[in-house]
Amino acid sequence: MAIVLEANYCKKLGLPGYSSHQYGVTIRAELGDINQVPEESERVYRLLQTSVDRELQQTGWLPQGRQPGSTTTPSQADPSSPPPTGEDTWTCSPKQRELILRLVEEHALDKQAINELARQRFGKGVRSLNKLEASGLIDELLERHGGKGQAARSPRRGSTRRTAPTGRAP
Amino acid sequence: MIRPADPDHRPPADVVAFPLRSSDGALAHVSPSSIRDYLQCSLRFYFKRVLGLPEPGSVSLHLGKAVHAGIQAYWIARWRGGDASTEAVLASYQTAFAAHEQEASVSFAEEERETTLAKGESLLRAYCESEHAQTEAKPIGVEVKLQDDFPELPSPLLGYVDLVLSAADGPVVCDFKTVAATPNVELEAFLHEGQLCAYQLLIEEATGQPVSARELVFLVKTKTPKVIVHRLPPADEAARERFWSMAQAMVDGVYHERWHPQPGMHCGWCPYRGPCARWRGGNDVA
Repeated sequence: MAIVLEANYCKKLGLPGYSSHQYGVTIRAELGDINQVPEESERVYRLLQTSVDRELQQTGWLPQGRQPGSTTTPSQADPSSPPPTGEDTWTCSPKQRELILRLVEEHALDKQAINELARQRFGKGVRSLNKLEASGLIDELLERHGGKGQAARSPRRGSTRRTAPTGRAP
Repeated sequence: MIRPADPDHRPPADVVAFPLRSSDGALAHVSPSSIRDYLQCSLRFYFKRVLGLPEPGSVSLHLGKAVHAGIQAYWIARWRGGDASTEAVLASYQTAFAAHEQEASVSFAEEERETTLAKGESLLRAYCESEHAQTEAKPIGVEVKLQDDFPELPSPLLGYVDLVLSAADGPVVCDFKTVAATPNVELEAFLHEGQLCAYQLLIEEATGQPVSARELVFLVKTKTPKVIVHRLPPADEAARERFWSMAQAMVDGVYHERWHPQPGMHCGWCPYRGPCARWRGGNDVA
């Protein structure tokens, strides 16, 4: 009895400026023996993942002409390019943006004061902070105001306030 | 061997249940230390990161963590305009030293605790007076956790970077090492190349800027403490490819659950020699 193996691999990536792109590949194949399924499934998965990952690196046109850092080597990056402007355009990761906004909301923080803090520390406003800088700002906000609810997160490694990890080693 | 399917021929298929692997979760992320652990001894990786067997703390690790906390306090104070005096740094160190005692079981010999505590204090005094600490460069990241997805790996790469300093031609990555004796810096650079390369990749990803240099800062626990800074150029393309190959070898080995003893000098301080001696193959630990 022939067995049809149908495999689909799809990945969606977030891009700057509320953009995203996705790509997927589906293949169908016929197997002669049910015992081949685990091995072939594993092989097909790797094949599809490799193919999709390779194609996804070509992001094509982006709003504001920004290219994501993950697909450019530093030598190709243009640090001199101006940061994106716009009411809702942030340079840091979506998760960092979400956490900063949540901290502001939970602790009723003054957005102007947070922006001023970012300017003191990094010489730029909150929306222009890159991922490294946003991480530093978040750490400082958490140390000043603490996290509660979903805004709480593990403090720095080595911090005396850090709770013992319950999972695996880092 | 796969043959093209016949679209008109759809036989009923049995549902195949895949058993959970004992290593599920061990690849939630990949870090320089997990790569080092696996490549140094895959069986040790299994005991530590898959089975989660406890690893007794050592005095030198305890001291190293507390000294790192003191250095972290110094640079945060420098960054935020706080108290970066030696006294404030030593206070942070002492607090961390006591806090780690609560967290980990460290067996000090008689008077060893006081000796160790004093050793750390003299190390930090030496660091606070060193050229490295007195640099005009501004920190842009202190003990920062960075995690990002890279197309070379199926799991995100994770790293905790001790210090990132700003420089005109790009960020400088600094990693602090507490060592017992004056190090052979060339050998140390070779041993830590993968870790520094990983940090460089993460910082470049997080900032969009090329890293201009990497520094290993050794705090040497000799009678008169020394601070030795070994500055390295950024990893080139060959070094990056080498790092990704090492990371992929680790991911492949963990995914396929390839564990086996790798006897060597490191067995001398391995806490898992008992279970290692009883290991008979695969996931079997007597």
